[in-house]
Amino acid sequence: MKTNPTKQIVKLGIILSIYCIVAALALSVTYSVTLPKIQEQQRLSTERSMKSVYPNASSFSVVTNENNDELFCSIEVESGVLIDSLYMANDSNSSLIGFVVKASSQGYGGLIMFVYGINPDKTIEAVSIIEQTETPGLGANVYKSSFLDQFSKKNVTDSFIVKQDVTPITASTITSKALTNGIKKSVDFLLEHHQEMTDEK
Amino acid sequence: MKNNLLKIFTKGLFIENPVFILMLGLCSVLAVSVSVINALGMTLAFTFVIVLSELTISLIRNWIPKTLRIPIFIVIIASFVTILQFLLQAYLPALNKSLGIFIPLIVVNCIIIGRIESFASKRPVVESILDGLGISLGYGIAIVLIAVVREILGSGSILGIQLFGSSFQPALMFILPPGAFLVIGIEIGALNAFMKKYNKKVCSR
Repeated sequence: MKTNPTKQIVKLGIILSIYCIVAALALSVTYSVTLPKIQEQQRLSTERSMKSVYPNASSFSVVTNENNDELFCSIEVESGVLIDSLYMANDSNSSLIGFVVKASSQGYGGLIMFVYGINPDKTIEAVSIIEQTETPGLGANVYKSSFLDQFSKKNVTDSFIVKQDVTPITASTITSKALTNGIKKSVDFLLEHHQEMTDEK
Repeated sequence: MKNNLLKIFTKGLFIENPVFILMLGLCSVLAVSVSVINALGMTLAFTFVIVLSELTISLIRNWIPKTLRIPIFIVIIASFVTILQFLLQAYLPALNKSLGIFIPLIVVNCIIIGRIESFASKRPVVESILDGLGISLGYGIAIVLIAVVREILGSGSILGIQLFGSSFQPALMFILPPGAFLVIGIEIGALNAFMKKYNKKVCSR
């Protein structure tokens, strides 16, 4: 039996489209059901990281300008380093404890998303990793306190050079450099562009 | 009949173990067998995808034109993987974080497409589900066995709990791919030696 090839192609195309439409429907249903939950989880994980930087803070508010627009929203400081947002950490008397920077840096296996606190005396309070996709067992150790603790109380004017004043994670120089560089570049940018941060309080 | 179903389930464990015997999908095996907890998480994710994909394809196997089967298989597997990722992000963010890129890569895991092509697209639903479960269990046993050795030697811990004092210097090589190949090779060798002995016993009886 000879079938018309054009007819055959159209028929197959229609069958495949039907399968794809059903799959797309299933996906969009799952997506819309899980989306609020996913956003909630992301918000929670950001909040948890901010809390781990300033455990005493009672509220975190986004730094805005006079028009209530968010300052420093997704600013690319240099290729690979992005400032996601800048928050002020206030204690229960609503006086400023420090600034929390949420930023990301291109690591070895994707973006490393992290937060860190800048104290008014221009030292780093602490660094915390929100999300990373580095090599398990190697770069993925970036979240460990044995690496992150060395940034605490570090002066922001330090040089932040891996293998000089920053001890890298064993066998993960690229990851270590990515995080160190991400902190340094975003801090420099903020100090330069955000007057309040340089004002001693 | 019952015996037959049992056979379908158990063949995934030894005779057709996807990792030790068929040696399929080794790429993701290398990647997730760094720690036992990752291996367990991957087994769960893998089971979800392979069982649901085999189930679906077995259900619709008579409506799949032969020339279109591979694209349709991929669409179905990819949909389940994406659904899985949404669910993990929403309800198990920690697992999603630790497995990272290996969840989307389940789509191209050749064990799944292999089982669908050679089994689920030709067999009834119950058999396909059992096949999926058996293969997942075999996969899980294999990657956990590899992960136990790699985590103890490479990180000095098991399930994240440190086994030795802080002075212990773990052999970094075992969490890198070469160490994984060594462990897989030695475990396959051990399994083969065991099977040989076992078969001899069976034959001489």
